[in-house]
Amino acid sequence: MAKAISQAERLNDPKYKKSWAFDFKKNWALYIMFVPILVYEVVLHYIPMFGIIMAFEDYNVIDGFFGSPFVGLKHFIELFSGEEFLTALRNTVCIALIKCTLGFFPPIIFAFLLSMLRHKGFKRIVQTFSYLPNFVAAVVVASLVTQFLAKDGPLTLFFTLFGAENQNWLANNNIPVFWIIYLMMGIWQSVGWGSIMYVAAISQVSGDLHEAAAIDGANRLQRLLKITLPNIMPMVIMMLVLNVGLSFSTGFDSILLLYMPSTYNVADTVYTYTYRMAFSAGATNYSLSAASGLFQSVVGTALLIISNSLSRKLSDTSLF
Amino acid sequence: MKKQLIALTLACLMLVGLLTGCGGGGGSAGDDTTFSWWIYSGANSSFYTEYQENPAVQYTLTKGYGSEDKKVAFEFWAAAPGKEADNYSTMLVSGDLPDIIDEVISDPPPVMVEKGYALDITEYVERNMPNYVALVHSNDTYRKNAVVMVDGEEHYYDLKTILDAPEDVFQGFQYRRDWIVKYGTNPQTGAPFTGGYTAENDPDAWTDDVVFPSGGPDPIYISDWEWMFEIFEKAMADLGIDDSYCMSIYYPGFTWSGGLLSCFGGGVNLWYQDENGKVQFGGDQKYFRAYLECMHAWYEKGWLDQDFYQRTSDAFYQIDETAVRQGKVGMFNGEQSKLGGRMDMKDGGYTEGIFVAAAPYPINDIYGDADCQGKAPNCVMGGDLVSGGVLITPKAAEKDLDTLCAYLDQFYAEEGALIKTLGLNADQVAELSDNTFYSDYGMPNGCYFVNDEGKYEKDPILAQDSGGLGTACGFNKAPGLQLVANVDLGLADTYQASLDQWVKYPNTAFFQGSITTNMMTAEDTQTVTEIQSHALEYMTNNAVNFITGAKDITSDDDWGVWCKALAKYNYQKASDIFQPYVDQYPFA
Amino acid sequence: MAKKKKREEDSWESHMVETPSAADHVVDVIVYTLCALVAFCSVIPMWHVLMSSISDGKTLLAHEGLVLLPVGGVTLDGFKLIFKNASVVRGFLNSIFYTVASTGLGFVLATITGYALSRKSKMKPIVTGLIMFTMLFSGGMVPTYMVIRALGWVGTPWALIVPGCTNAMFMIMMMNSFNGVPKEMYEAATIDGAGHWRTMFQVALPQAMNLGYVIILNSVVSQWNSWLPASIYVPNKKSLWPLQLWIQQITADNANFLNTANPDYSRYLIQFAVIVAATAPIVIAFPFFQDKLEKGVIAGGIKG
Repeated sequence: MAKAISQAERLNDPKYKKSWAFDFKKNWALYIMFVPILVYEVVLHYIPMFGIIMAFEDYNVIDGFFGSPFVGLKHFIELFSGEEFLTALRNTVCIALIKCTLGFFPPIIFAFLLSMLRHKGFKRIVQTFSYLPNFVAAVVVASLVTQFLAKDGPLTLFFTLFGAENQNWLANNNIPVFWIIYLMMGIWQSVGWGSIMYVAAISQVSGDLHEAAAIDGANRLQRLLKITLPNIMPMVIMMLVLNVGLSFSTGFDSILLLYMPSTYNVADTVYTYTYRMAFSAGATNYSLSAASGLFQSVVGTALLIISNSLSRKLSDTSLF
Repeated sequence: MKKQLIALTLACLMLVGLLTGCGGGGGSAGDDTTFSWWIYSGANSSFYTEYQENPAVQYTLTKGYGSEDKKVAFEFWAAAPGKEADNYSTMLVSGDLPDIIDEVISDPPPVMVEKGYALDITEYVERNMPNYVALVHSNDTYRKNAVVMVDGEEHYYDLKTILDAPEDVFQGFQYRRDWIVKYGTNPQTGAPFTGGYTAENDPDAWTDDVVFPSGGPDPIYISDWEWMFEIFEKAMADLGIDDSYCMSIYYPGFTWSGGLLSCFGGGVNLWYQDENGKVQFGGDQKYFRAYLECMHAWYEKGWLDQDFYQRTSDAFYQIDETAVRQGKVGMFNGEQSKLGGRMDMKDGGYTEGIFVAAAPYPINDIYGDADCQGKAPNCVMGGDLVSGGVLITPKAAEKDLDTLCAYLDQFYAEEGALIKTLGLNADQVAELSDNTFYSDYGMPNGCYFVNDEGKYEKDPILAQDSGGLGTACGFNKAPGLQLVANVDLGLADTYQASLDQWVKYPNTAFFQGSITTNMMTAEDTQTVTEIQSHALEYMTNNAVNFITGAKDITSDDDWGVWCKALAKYNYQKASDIFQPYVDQYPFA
Repeated sequence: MAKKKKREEDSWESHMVETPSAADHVVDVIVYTLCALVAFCSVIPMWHVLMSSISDGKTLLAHEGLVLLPVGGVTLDGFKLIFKNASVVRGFLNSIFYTVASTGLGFVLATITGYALSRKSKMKPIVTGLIMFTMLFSGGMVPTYMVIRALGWVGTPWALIVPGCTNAMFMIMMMNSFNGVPKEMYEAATIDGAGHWRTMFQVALPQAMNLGYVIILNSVVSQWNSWLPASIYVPNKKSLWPLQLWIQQITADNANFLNTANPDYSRYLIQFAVIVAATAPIVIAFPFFQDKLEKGVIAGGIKG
């Protein structure tokens, strides 16, 4: 009897309602749904993270992950006192910045252009064609870039028509040639695919507004700036903020396929530096590699968290 | 409806994939004579898929070995192309070892044993490998390389591949001699040269009366090379080649293992041993500076490939292959298969009438001070009598190593050595009737025969091929006796003369990768590797600037920056580590 | 029904009552030209490769610049050389299998997780955090290898199917998609007495499927193009190799084809033919999904 009363009391107790036990009782099905992913993440991602401890020890194969001598922050100090890593860091920051600024707008502009096409069939063809590069493997894209920008490559020959020097552009280690190439490659791959979302947003802007504006004598450009743009602005802001959030940690893989020792000064990034330290024959230094990888992760996480909360404030949407 | 069909098809595909994909795994695991064997590169997919399908391998597996006459089996592990180093280090770091490791990129055997990656196989070798033991003790060089002395006792840590005579070097500098004949004039008399092919369709039937400024029929000095470059320039101007150059070099601007670099009085830009047996670091010495000066001068004159530093994916003996193959380059580093008239595409292009001859490394007589001049190159490839081998790992400790050793011992005797070096003979092919590889490639009578002189001669089909058929029909991944002396390659005189140019100077200074460094401890190896990789990376990234002129090689300031940067890597420490090994294990 | 709706959706501009002015015509010309240019730039590199792959090898070797039409006569020698190898066909089937299996598994996982994340529970922030963390931090290749080996997956198809089947992005996208399903539908389902599982599969998923297609396509593309995991986990089992790894192998085996006394110049075509062979299936398949995908990305973008 007393038990039953306390049970009823507990159910009405706001504290109990916030407790885990209550939540579990109510949502046990959800808890079960979380089991597969938790198992997946723990086994395949969290257990291997013991590898991170390499960053804090002088890792050697004989003693293994748990036996190698612990050295604290030695490798981080080594990283920041080495010219190579600082160059890589500078390049990473610059490439990320360029990607977030110059690389961000082409899909939006393309979406506007598409929305102004009146011929249905033409629009469809342009869209389909522009999606193609998204499906091409990174290895293939890199080999295309290499071919096209080689000394006798089609693009290089095209540039010489405008007075550019005949050269292998990928081997040019002047700032910002490589950065521009990398930016253009990214734009080529994603301009079509990235525009879909904006095309959709634009098409959902109410036609009535446009009609009213047109009757008032606003031309197309005015309508674009005054009606369409403000309407899709929240989405643009959200995308921009998320781009910034991920810019430091993702999208550097292809550099491995494009750079060469003579362009390390402009093309080496934290990601490629990490990879080289771990695998390039002869120069392997697992601990340094792990330290550099960890540094990138930490900065990436910080950026993502900051930009996510910014996004929540500015556009009321967020990734998580 | 369509959807259901697609779903059904996909489901079927999945099932097929699962059944076939997972079915392949089996094998006769648990069998104590089945060994996994890591090889650096797998089968060439133009011939067959798995190395197990190699006919020579299959033939040896049909026999029984050892006192119990047991059969052995192998499962060859090979990395995906381009991922060899990743694969190797993943294997070692994770402890997922095979039973047998090819030594190609391993640390020296004593280090491997010390680290626990390899077994001391002395007892098995002494018990089961009479051929190997006898061969190793037949020559001092063999013994020093194959046997490790521990407390005065002989130990075997690996099984070496042993050559009965030095092999021809597979690559070296070569130049378009037909251009010299056509566009050059005799430096003494000023008369034009004469010469040409003496027989049609024979790439080696060539004769000429070329004389170099140094007086002989072959180039000897740097000045001879510059004389050639001037002729090449004339040739290219005449032929209208405007997108080429006289000479190509490796992308960092040097090859640290020797070659041209050692023609300037010192050795290489890393460590080498000087005349007095002292270990030197060449990176900041005047000899290397003289080399860079020379390269810079050639670059300025347009003789050097203006884009050399961009060709990072090319191997040092195959630089700018497209231009070389089109006959547009005068002097280049290339393989044997480019000698003579072999590159003639017979299409009226620049390769028309091509004749390529080999050049020995030149002797510097122009650049640097007196110390840098007039000395013979001392860091060169070739002349090895022992090359590579295999290690047995602790994974195989529980397996029947007696039988394995008995099996491998056959390759140190004549018959097995032939299988390893060349492939199968007519009888063996007949015995291996269910493998049609040899008949498929037009060699039903095996890949060699014994000629009138009593030497082994390759089947004509094999002799003419350089596209990998030779590798595909012999068991050359096996350790064993590599037959050189008694194999008649049927080379023409001009061809042999070219090969001789490449081995004109012996290697007396470059000790890395030799017996000297093979005897180093794990700790020492790691220390020097670390210093070396840093120093080498700095030089790889920066030497180019001196050659292209971005930095001034004649400026003591610029050179000072270079030297200071190198000093930071503490190369002296590495020199000190090397010294006792050089004293104790002289490689030459 | 769906078609009609679509027309209403994106054709307001063309339905508008308006007399185009001269300025409009100028704008039109510029817009059409720019769009055509984008389309041209998107296609031309692949076209160059396609045309190169059916050119004559020897002529192509000496050719400079774009290949807009086959040079030196049309041949299929490059493709013949690739497909004469039975393993390549096997690789094709393997790739299809891995792509389907991995995408399928990943999608189920992303759906379940996405649904669970979209409902309120105390676990939600914790799981979200755990998932996001893996997006940025990883233990590295070798530790991951050791775990996979401990699971006994090295040398089996599992290593290629399970580890990369889903990722944080997919799960978050699915969560957003479920969030976008109208509340009323969930409420109605609860009143009907449907539990979470039934609600998810019968009520919410069909509504969230638009974005689902996007995830599926993204997953298919990345699985089809992936080769690194195979090079790590099944290098020694060629019967398990996906197509992309064969492409690496064939390219490597052909890298030195010129280095023979009488080179077969059609082997120069192989490098182009393999690109075509690897890319064609996915490019050909894509237009069939285009409608659904566009809708999906819209859904994800607006509501996400």
